[in-house]
This record gives sequence, C-alpha cells and structure tokens, in this order.
Amino acid sequence: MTSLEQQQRALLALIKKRSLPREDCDEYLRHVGASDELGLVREIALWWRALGIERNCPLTAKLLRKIGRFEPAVESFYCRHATSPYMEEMAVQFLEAMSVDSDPLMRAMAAFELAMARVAQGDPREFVIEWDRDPTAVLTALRMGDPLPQPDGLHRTTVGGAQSDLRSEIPIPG
Amino acid sequence: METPSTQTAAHGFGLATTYEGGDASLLERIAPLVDYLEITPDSIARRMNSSARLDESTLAEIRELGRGRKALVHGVGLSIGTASGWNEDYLRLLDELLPEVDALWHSEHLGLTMIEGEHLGSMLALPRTERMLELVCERVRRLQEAYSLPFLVENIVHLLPDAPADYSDAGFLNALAGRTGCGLILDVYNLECDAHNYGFDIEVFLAELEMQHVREIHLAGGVLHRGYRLDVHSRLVADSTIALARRVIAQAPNLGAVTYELLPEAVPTLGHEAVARELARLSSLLAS
Repeated sequence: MTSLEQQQRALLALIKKRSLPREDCDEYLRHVGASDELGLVREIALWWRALGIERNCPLTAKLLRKIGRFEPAVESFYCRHATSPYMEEMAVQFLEAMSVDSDPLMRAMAAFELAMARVAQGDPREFVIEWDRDPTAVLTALRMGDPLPQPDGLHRTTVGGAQSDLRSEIPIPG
Repeated sequence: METPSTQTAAHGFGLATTYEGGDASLLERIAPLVDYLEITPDSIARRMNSSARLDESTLAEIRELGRGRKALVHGVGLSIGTASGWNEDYLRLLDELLPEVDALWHSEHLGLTMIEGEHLGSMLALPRTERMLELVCERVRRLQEAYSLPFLVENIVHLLPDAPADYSDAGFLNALAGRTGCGLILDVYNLECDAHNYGFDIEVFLAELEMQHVREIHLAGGVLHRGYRLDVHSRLVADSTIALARRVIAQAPNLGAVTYELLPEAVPTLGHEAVARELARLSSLLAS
C-alpha cells in the first residue's frame, strides 16, 4: 500500500508518461496505468494546452500544424514540463521550449513569436532572430496555405529595442 | 441572504450563471435574468513572471457589477486534496478578490489539480479514505477560520478508476460536511457523467446524501467523447439534468442557489441569445 503522497506522485508520473519507481506501484496504480481513462485524462489536459497554444502562439502553432508536428509537440511539452495553468504563461513556456527545437525553421518561428510576446509585455530588449529562409515568405505561405519556401541562406529579423515596433528583415546571402 | 428576484425566488433560491469578464454585451443580456454571478478567481487571473494577479480590467468590471448583486466565488485551482500542499497562489487570488465583491459564499471542487507543485491540466477525484477525509477537513477548517464566509465543496466527475475507499461518495460528503459544517454544491450533471461513464448509481447516492448540507446545485451540458460523457460546460442543459435538479431542489431545505455553468469558450458557438433563453427556461422550469 502506498502513502497518499506516493500515490499522487505516481498518478502524476502515469498521466505524464514518466517512469514510475517500482516501489510506488501497487495494484491500484497498475490498474490505473492499464486503464483507458488514463488516456482520457491526458487527452483533456492536452486539449486545453492545445487551445491555449493556438490562441497565444498562433504562428508557431500554425507552422507545427503545417509540418504535421502540432499534436506530438504539445504532448511532448505537456509530459516533459511543469506547464502553467495560466494560458499566457504556458504559451511563453511552450515558445521557450520550441525555440531550442532541432528544426531551425521551428526554432526561428518560436523565437520570433517569443520576442514579440516579450516586447508586448514591456521587455525593453532587442531580439535578433536568425532564419534559414525568408521569414516573409514563410509567413505568407502560412497565411495562404502554400508550400513553405526552401532554405536560401541567413536572414535576420529584429524585434523590439530602441524602436519598439521595429520589424526589419536583413537578408544575408548564404 | 439577499432575496432572489427571479422566478425561483418563491422557492427560496436564486439563479446564477458563470461570468468571467471581457464580454460586456453578454453581461448586459444575462444580468437581468440571474440573481447571482459565479466568479472564478483563477479564470480572471493572469500569471506572468511567476506572479498571479487578478486581471485589472475584469476586476473593474466585477466591481461595477458588484453594486447590488451578490457573487458566488467558485475556485478551480485550490487543489484541496493534494497531499504535499494546496495551491497557495489560489489563496492569494481569493484574498485579492473577496474584498472586491459581495460574496454569498466561496467554494471549491473536492479534487486535486496539482501534485508537488506541478499542474495536471485536469482535475482528479480524491480517494475516499479516512486519511484524505482528515486532510480535507483540516483544510476546510483553515478556510473557515481565514474567511468570514460560508465555504462549500463540490462533487466532481471521476475520470480515473476509483482508489480503494473507506467511504461511499455520499458518505464522504456527509462526513466532511458533518465534521466541518461546510456546505455542499451538488453538481447534478457530474452525477450524470459518472452514471454514464462507469455506472454510478445516482439513486443510491441521493438516498444516502444528507440533503440539509446542499446549498447550491450546478447545472451544465457537455459532450460525448469516445463514449465518455465529459464535464466541459459547453452546451445547453439536457432535460434529464433539469429533472434531476428538480428532484434535488425538492429535497434540499437549505438550498440558496442553482448555477448554470458555461465556459466562455462556448459562448460564441451558442450565442448570447441562446444563453439568455436558456437562463429564462431554467428559471421557469426550476420554479415550477
């Protein structure tokens, strides 16, 4: 028989698909682990996270959907992070997580949206985002539903700083 | 208690509905149809840079509507059953909100939303053990000492299989209310969800529940997903839910409010007129 705290810790691990110490796993927890309802609890949590992400990081969400990674990215984020119950804060956490993604385009888009969120909240810093392709063409493709442009060299976007509304792009031939 | 003014007044209870701010035209449409507004501190808060605060514009709106209208303060994030400690953030929001509203009472769900500081993104029912009962009783008493308002707890849906228990659902609620003097919110739609999802026996539950503790009823409409009935507060109220509410109303001598809960996300889909029509329908049906 597990203690109340052990039982709750184990439920958190089960819901978030984390490893569960053998000593924490009694008959009840094994029953929960094998239940269909465990997936339902996770689905409900993911549905709310997805809604918050689509509302608060629409560009990153749209790019993820475009390349078929939205649901796995949300699930990975939920399971691996202590996500905030406050949607605006959770969205920033999500963008921070995606801004170190292995895909350079995803990294750039998340960093771009994160910079815009921070500047909108009054952050005085200037953020420089590096892209492996033309960001204007990426945004146009997302808006129009067209194929994404191919990488064509280094581009930079500057957000914030002394001119807080600056959104300049400096294509640098690759 | 303020005298309710809707059709339910003759029965001694007021009609309420959810309002989370930011929709002045909805408020204008529904305010004349209800006696109280249900306000959820967590839902009108913003948390940035590790600090949760009530949203200033929503707070201004609530101050305005608070003139002459009582609020039912109903939390979602206290996590009263978390063994490692409840959510202190929620209590700070409550401290911020309560001086701003004329609250009839405040309430929370009998569940947990966080474990060891990590939010689940969902709400889990508590194991009905003596150990959990002692823990929740102790926390209810702390709330009663801290705030000079009645405190109510609400039954929630059981999403996961039940843990081994010392009490039945009604027995646990009876013991909690009996030991602490707290009131109960009976969410009759949650009972229907449990009945649909795992065969929960509503008749047995109602026969065992000590109805004098029930101060508020919650009504909602939800959806079916993969065969499960979900408590998402996204639809109009089904006739079966209204019928169940009427049965409880007839048996609950200390009932003060019936609340139709609706997510703000569902309002654009339903439309303001449909919400208003639903409130008028509920007022009429619950009073008849």
